[in-house]
Amino acid sequence: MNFKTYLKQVYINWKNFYYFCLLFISGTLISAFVICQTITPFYIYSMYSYVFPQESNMTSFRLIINEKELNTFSFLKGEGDVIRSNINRFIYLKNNNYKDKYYDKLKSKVGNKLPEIIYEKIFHYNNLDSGFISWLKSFLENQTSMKITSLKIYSINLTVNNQFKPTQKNKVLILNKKFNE
Amino acid sequence: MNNITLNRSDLKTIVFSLYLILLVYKFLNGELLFQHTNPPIIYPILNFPYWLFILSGLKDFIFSSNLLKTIITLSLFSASFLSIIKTKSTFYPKIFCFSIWLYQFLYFSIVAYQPFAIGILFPCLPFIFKDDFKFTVVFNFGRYFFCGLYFLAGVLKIVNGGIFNIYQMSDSIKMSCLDYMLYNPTSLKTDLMSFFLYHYKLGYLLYLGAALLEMGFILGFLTKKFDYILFILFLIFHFSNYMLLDLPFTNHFIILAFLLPLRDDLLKYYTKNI
Repeated sequence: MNFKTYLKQVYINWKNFYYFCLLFISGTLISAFVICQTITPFYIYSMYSYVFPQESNMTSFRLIINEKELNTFSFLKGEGDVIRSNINRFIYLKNNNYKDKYYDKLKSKVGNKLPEIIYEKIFHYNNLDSGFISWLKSFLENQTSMKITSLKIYSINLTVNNQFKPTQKNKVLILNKKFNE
Repeated sequence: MNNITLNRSDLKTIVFSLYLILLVYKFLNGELLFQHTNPPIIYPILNFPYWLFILSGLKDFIFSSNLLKTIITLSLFSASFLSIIKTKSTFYPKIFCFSIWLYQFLYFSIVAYQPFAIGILFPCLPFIFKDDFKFTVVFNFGRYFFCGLYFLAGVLKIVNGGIFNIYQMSDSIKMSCLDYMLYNPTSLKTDLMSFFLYHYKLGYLLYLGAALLEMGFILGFLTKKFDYILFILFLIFHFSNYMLLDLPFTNHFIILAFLLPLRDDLLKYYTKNI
């Protein structure tokens, strides 16, 4: 059975679902070709479809606890994903005046049509550092079963050397915190 | 292969058994809600239901309560188990659907949006319908959604220009896997990634192959005859993604359930009457 026949059957026997299908197809096509972004629930797979800007590097981090580097890939996959995505995002926000990338995009496109509370609660952070440090310390203590006395995060740019292995291009100290024992 | 067909209760058993296995895997992998605290950072993107989670305070409320996190986890396990046992019931699938959508929104909220993991959300949905016709219609819709998702991904690689860039595969590795390579210098995946960074033209051929493979899912809109081929293509595609781009698909593979050969007599019956 093909899609056309399917839609015909649905149209004849379950009209509401037929209209849902049309809405879903339209939403997905608009997400894919007009807005170029998934707008839940109109999921699109556009990752790796765009050409990367030339000379762009991967940004990552080095995490130092109690003066020793921690390899977050040694954690369980789920725990490692959480720590890596949160630290990467913390670095991004810190470098972007604590604003999400959509803050300025939405401000310029829809401006005051969106209530200010949406910008402030969703796309802008106040006093992020203290809450983040406290969460990170407790998360890492839980993971490593160690009491953490110092915490450093460096933002690093990675590139590829002539052996086609990753190499660190530069590093910037993003966070340096000592805790009382 | 095409002669094998499954009825609704067979499918229900398979789908919810897979969910149960996935939940155990998630537990072992540290991905369940009660295994996490509440980081102050959020990942809003253009995900409007998720905005409501944040604005209403629901995300903070649930993450601040160990009891609620445990209840959601228990309801996932028990609803999937009971959905297997009670083959006629639509109540437990409803509980499961509610819990898995809640779980997934909450989990995305602490680990960044992972579009490659959405498969977990859908195969449970057809089972909330008591009426066999509605179940069959929704199950088939899930199948078309699945095929459309991959076909569109192939088209977007043309529209967005990736397919015209000979460095696309090596750039993809450079932009998303160098940290993995740095911290896992001896792994087989790192060796493969290095190989395709050096042999970028071979990498490009793989990228082209992946785009063609994705566009091959258009077949799913024309006939069900080749679903077993799509099944194999899906596994090849995602296994390659896992090896070359470190993109796991354990949370997503369950979407393959839509390619299982459902007996759709009801649809055929209605077709004759058109």
